[in-house]
Amino acid sequence: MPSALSISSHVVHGYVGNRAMVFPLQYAGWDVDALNTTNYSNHPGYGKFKGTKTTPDQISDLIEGLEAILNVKSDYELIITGYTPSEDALKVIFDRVSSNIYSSSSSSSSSSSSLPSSSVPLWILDPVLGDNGKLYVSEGLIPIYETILKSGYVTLITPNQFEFETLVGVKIDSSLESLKSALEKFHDKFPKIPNLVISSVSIGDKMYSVGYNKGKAFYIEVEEIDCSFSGCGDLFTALISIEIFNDNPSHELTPKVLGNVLVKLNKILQHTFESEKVKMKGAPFTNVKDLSLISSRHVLTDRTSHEHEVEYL
Amino acid sequence: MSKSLLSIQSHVVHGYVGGKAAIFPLQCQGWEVDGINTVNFSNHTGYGSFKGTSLKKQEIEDIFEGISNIGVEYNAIISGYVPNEELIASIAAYVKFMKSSSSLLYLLDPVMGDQGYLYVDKTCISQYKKLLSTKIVDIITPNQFELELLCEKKVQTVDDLKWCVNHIHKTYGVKYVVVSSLTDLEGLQSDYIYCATSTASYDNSINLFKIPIIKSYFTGVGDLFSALLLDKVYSNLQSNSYREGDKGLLVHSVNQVLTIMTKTLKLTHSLGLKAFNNDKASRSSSKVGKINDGDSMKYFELKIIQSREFFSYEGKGEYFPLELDSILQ
Ligand SMILES: Nc1ncnc2c1ncn2[C@@H]1O[C@H](COP(=O)(O)OP(=O)(O)OP(=O)(O)O)[C@@H](O)[C@H]1O
Ligand SMILES: Nc1ncnc2c1ncn2[C@@H]1O[C@H](COP(=O)(O)OP(=O)(O)OP(=O)(O)O)[C@@H](O)[C@H]1O
Repeated sequence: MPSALSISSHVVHGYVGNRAMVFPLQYAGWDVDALNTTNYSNHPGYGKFKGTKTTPDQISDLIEGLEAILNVKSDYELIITGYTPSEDALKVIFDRVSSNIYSSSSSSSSSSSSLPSSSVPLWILDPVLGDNGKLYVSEGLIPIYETILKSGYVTLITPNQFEFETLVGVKIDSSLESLKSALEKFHDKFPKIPNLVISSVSIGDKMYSVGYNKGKAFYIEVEEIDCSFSGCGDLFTALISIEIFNDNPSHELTPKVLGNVLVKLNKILQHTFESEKVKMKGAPFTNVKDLSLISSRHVLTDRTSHEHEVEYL
Repeated sequence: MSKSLLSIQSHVVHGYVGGKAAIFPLQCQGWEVDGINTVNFSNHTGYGSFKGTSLKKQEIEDIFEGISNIGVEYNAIISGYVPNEELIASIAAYVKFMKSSSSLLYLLDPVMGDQGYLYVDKTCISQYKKLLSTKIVDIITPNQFELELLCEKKVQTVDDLKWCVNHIHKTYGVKYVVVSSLTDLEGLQSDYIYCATSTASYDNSINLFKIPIIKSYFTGVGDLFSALLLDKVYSNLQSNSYREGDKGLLVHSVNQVLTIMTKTLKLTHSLGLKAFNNDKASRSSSKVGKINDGDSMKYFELKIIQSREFFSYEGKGEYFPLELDSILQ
């Protein structure tokens, strides 16, 4: 059974952060260690919430606790990091992860030194910063994310358009040319990131998901639903993680991987949308606060591959 | 029909105890599960080392306020490991409040210890009694030791057991009592764990299930047990096979739960042993120690993920409910 360490937010009610990532991975057969960066009653999209952030010291302690009982280099196939609420928390995570999992210093004469370096876990990172032109974390996280992306430890990142633009320092102005040059800038700035997905980008009046693997870029149209969904970015990252390990020994982001994710995500969002309609008894709505993740769980175990119209840039 | 539940128990980053043992099986059974983590630890304490913190009283009250503010409602609440009396008091108040406005099923697993060893503050005992005396508990799942603590009485004989179970029904108005494990009772065979069930208003008619012991090291079993029990009782009621308070409801549900437990524990043991031996063979000077020490613990974590297909078991159960009175002539 594959194992993952997932570091993201916890909410008591609803499906964002770890609550949108852990269950899908588990249902797809993963053992998931969940390290929670927050302990909130619900997500802020409700307009009000209560609870606390996990302090950087607590995060550091929890990772230290894991290191004492596990071989963190070889016991995990995958590390996912998502919502991280503060600069210090992000620094602590990066310090711990880089020094204990990715440092090449073979000073540890423990059992793990005999393992080939290719057996270190993949790190998939969702640089959660904000959406639609607005940051929802402190600006100070941006340079820390940049440092992490330059470290060479991260295999894949899953920003949305705003996060991508913020990190790379470009704007995509809804044309393919600007997307193309933005991706070039991305590669110049972060040459050590082999895989990228921009979860959604609007080009013209359509929405696309953009994939990038070692210099090749492609995009797939997303069937847009007239509604926004809290937590879909986190679910997206979880689905990408599942799919990149699904009959895909190289763990590269291929059009097939992205295409399959989009099919599954669309089914879950459609189901969520339909459930909300029933719940709202015909009243109009523009956003859904809680994904119908549990009642669409059968989608998660679907291993069939779907044909997709893929365009290359 | 969607069904929602609030789970209040421990969280560990690694491994399967508390919420990690309970929530996934419930989600697989279609429950929308909200989760309050009473503690946030790196791993369970059986490893010999762990890191992490407990929730403070103010924090749990804030969380209750937060979820109340957005108007969430539940069909069921389950509470498990709670490390101190302050938190128990807050939980009692919240459950009481929720029950005053809706019909929900509350399962209390009064997790306090096992085999004579207490793993919460001593003051939890009286706080659980206080909670119970508000008569909000529908189902309770103590093990033998926890039953003794709640009843202030050693359970050594069948009569002791009857007295205690009856005490819980009568004093606290608990409809369904399940003693998840009895291992030390006069007249019972060793090599077996006994599980006792009793439903209020069926005077002194306790059923016993006799479960062959799997010799291994399991943690989190009680947490999985209570989650499965809640699911089975709830869904057997929903399917209208039983009416509330029927004796058959609890007997049938527990039989199903024990059947799932056995499947899960057998799988846990065999997969654990396999991985343990593999790693031992591949690492000469290793961190892999003897079975049952801190280093081998990780191999015997409940195989919750791999047991997914067991949770939907709907058969009649592979065990036989015995009448307590009849087997001890
Ligand atoms: N209205 C929608 N209709 C169809 N698909 C959608 C819609 N919203 C989101 N998606 C799907 O979800 C994926 C992730 O969405 P998005 O890019 O908005 O994530 P995000 O901004 O990171 O999310 P979050 O708001 O959780 O941070 C998109 O690739 C798309 O496939
Ligand atoms: N070694 C074992 N072999 C077979 N079944 C077991 C074993 N240990 C536990 N079980 C099963 O798990 C159930 C619950 O176990 P037990 O009562 O020991 O949990 P607990 O952790 O003591 O409970 P609590 O949560 O009340 O503290 C038992 O009824 C039995 O079905």
